[in-house]
Amino acid sequence: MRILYNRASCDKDGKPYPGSKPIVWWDEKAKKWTGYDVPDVPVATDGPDTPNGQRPFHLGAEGVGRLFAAVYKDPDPRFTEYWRDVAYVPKDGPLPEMYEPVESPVDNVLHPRVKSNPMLKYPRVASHQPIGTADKYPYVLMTSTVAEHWCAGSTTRNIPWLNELVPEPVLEMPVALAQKLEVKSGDWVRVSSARGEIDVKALVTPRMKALKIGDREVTVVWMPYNWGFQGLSTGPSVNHLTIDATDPGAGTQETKACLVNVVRANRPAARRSGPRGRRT
Amino acid sequence: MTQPVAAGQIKATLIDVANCIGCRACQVACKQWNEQEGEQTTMEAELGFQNPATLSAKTYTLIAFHELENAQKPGGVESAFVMQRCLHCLEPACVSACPTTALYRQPDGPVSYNEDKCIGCRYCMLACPWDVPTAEWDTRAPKISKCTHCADRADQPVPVAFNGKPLAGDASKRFAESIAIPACVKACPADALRYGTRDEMLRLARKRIADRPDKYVDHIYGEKELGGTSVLYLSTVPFEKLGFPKYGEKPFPAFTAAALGAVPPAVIALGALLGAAYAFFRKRVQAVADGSAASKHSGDHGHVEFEPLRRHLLTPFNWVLLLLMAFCAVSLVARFALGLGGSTNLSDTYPWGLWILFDLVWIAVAAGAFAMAGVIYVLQRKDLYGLGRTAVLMGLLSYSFVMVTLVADLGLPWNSYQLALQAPEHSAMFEVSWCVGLYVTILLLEFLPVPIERWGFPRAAAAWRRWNGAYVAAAVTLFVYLLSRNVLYALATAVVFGALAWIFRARDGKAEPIMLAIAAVTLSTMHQSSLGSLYLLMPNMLAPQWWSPVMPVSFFLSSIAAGTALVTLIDMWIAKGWRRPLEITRLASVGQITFWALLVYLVFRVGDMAIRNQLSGAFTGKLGMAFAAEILLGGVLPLILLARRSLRQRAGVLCVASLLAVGGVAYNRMNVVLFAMTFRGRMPWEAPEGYAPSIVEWGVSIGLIAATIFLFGMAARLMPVLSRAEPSEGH
Repeated sequence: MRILYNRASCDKDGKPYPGSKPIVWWDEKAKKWTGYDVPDVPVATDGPDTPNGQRPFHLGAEGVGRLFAAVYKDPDPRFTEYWRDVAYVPKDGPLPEMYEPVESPVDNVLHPRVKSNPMLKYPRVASHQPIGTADKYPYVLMTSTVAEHWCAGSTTRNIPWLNELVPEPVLEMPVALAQKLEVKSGDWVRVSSARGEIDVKALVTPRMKALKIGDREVTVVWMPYNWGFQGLSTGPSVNHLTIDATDPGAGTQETKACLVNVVRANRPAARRSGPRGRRT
Repeated sequence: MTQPVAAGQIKATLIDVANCIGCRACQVACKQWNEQEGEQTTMEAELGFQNPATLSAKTYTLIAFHELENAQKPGGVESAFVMQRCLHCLEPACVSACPTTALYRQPDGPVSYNEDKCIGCRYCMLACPWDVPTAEWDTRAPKISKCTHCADRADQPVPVAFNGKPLAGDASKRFAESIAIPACVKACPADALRYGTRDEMLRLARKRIADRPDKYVDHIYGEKELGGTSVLYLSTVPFEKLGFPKYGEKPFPAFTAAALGAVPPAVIALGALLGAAYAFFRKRVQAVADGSAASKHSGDHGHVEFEPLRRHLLTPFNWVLLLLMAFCAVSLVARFALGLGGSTNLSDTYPWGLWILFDLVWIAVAAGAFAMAGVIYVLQRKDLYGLGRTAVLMGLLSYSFVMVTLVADLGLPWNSYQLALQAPEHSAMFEVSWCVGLYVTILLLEFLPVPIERWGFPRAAAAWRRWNGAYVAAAVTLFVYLLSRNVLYALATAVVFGALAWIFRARDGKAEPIMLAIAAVTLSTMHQSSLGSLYLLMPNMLAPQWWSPVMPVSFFLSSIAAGTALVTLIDMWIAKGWRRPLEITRLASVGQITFWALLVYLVFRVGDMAIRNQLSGAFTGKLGMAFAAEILLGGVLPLILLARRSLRQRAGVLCVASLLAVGGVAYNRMNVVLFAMTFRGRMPWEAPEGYAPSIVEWGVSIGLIAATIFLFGMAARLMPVLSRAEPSEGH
């Protein structure tokens, strides 16, 4: 196992902070960094008394953490025309700040009047980019990949061995929501957002619990994003639901968070697949 | 067969459940190495991301996902990912079950499968205490499949080059060693799988437990379970919570080994005993006969005449039977055209179904043939002589059609010749196959005098008289040799049965077929009991009311009760159906035999349960009701009805009692085969399938019963099977 920048778990003398779980440390006798993890330092034998021994965030040019992002260029002594590291001021300011996503069921407790990123331009085309509200779409949808499929699945969903492991997309939901909707694992549910709706099977799990945010209980559901209409295993793409608001700094879409509604779908409950290894 | 290397040097895999991250790289690596196709799966309800739900012919291993409540863990939920696959027992039940050594344990541990030897009986699937072996239900030749522990990876040629560059020094050896470990172990990124000798793995496991006693359960699953396995588990969650069955240290094959080890000496002892009994009773009968020489009733069977029945064959009832037989023929064609999976509803959960039930019931109730042969000839009960041919013909037809069913039931019947080539250590299936096969030839020889009497083949008759004793000696000797693979046992058998054949050789035309009777009783005793031995490997599945280490004896005793009761019923049916006088005195005597057999059976079975302290909870629950019904309605009630001569003499009472006795024993077999068994499905026991026999299964079974009845009727019309209906002469 490796923890990035694990040198930061030690003080300036290379000793683990008192009361913390030791991860790595400077071994004075052996004159090298050692520990339970692989020490993440520029040079393993450069001790705390050398400059390299004081660069826990060694991938950044300064080698130390940044409180805010300023324009910074670290010249490379070998090449005049290249920079070893550059930082620029993000569009939404030099200081990190917490904003709610465009679609969020809760207010921003830090600054209630500016809920989401003011630099974010959304909708760009109002007629085509609706924003859902918590009264119609009360649940938060998270998306991520599954280990067995890669991105949209154009390669992995054509491999029967992987399709066998995860054959179709599901909507993972907490037990409390399943009880409320009277849904069991394997039942079909209809998931809808301001942008579209899809039918998938429910997967009820005790791993997900409702979040307590302020005085509100926020229910989170999850779907993998690896499916589409082509390949050996096809299924509805979750991007029918997600929002294309982009982060103004990096230009990344807000596909990790949007608001949805979930209802029972009027389709027959998913049947168990036929007896293993025989005709279906 | 197996000459294991020192137990500690056996190759073993250690599975540390705590380290598994559930990535399932092992599952894919397994399929890749074994070139198996992916299964069509769905996201199974309640199983989370586990897929497939259970092992199958296309899946040797899978990771079972568990989400367990644990207040100490974040969110109160603890995840456990458990690799499920063959445990490669040190004393594998599947190997001991296999009648053709198609499953065998390699000296260094892996339990392997040789498809060329497999007859497809699927006994291994039932025998496996962990429900691992599966069958290829989607082919016409369903082979067994299970994890091989990648024994074939160790057999790969040593690589001499890597990416075109020759390997220098010991690099080639190191490369070969890195390949020679199982594909799953090689694929594991999380150190959840380790491979090495069993001693190393046990040491490693003990060290991990000692290092983190707060983390691990202090138990290495597989270290001692059923004699130990070469796949070992470590876990942070108690194994019961992961669905692992709790087993003792005694391997299940020890039960069958004990039962089958008794067979060769039992054959010799039984042969000698029957011979002595025959000599004793014959002397006594002759003494009586000499004492009353003037009387015509000498005890000699000369006065019982047999004659063909004079009735039309094509009665409406027989038309119905013919129709059922036609349906049977269609079903048999469908069975082979569609394959076992395509024509039956058998599955990995129910590898055995209606056909095996039907075989076990039928063989039990067909025990009348050997019981009557023994009673008439060995015990010299000549008053029952008139029933002999009925019983033998019924037995011959029944056993023949059981063989037909078996051919349909076997997945790979064309490999059956392997039964003659292979020498399994102690397989009840092997014993039953040979014993039933030889007994059918004995039945055929027992029945041969009937066509000879009808059509007269003098030379055949002479040969039969002359050689049947020698044939018996040869057949029984062969049987004992095959079972024991011990020349001394075979020699002793040859001596005993050869001597009997010589002593009781035919001295005149009226000699009795005593050797055939002795062989019938001997072989039947062995296979009737061994049908019970089949289930000795399943104490984990069969309810305690039925499973017992001495259930072979119960099977044998109950078969006599059921067999004799069925002879009574058949004779009553013949009398009723063909409007012949009912010889109630004769049948009451049979009823008396049924009574004693039933009494001994019940006392033995209940006594055994009492000794093993199994009686206290035997009558509780649904299975307790079934047990009570079996014992009270099928045992105690007919016992009461048959207890008094005055009651036995009443046709109605005798009929009801015999029906109850046959029904009780048939119900016993049903319980053993299906109802009292716990079918948990394949490992990891997540998705047991249901079972209802298919139309083809019903067609074959019912059609063969119809064929038995029809052919019996036909034979009775063609040949002198039934005794001449004469007014009783003072019996």
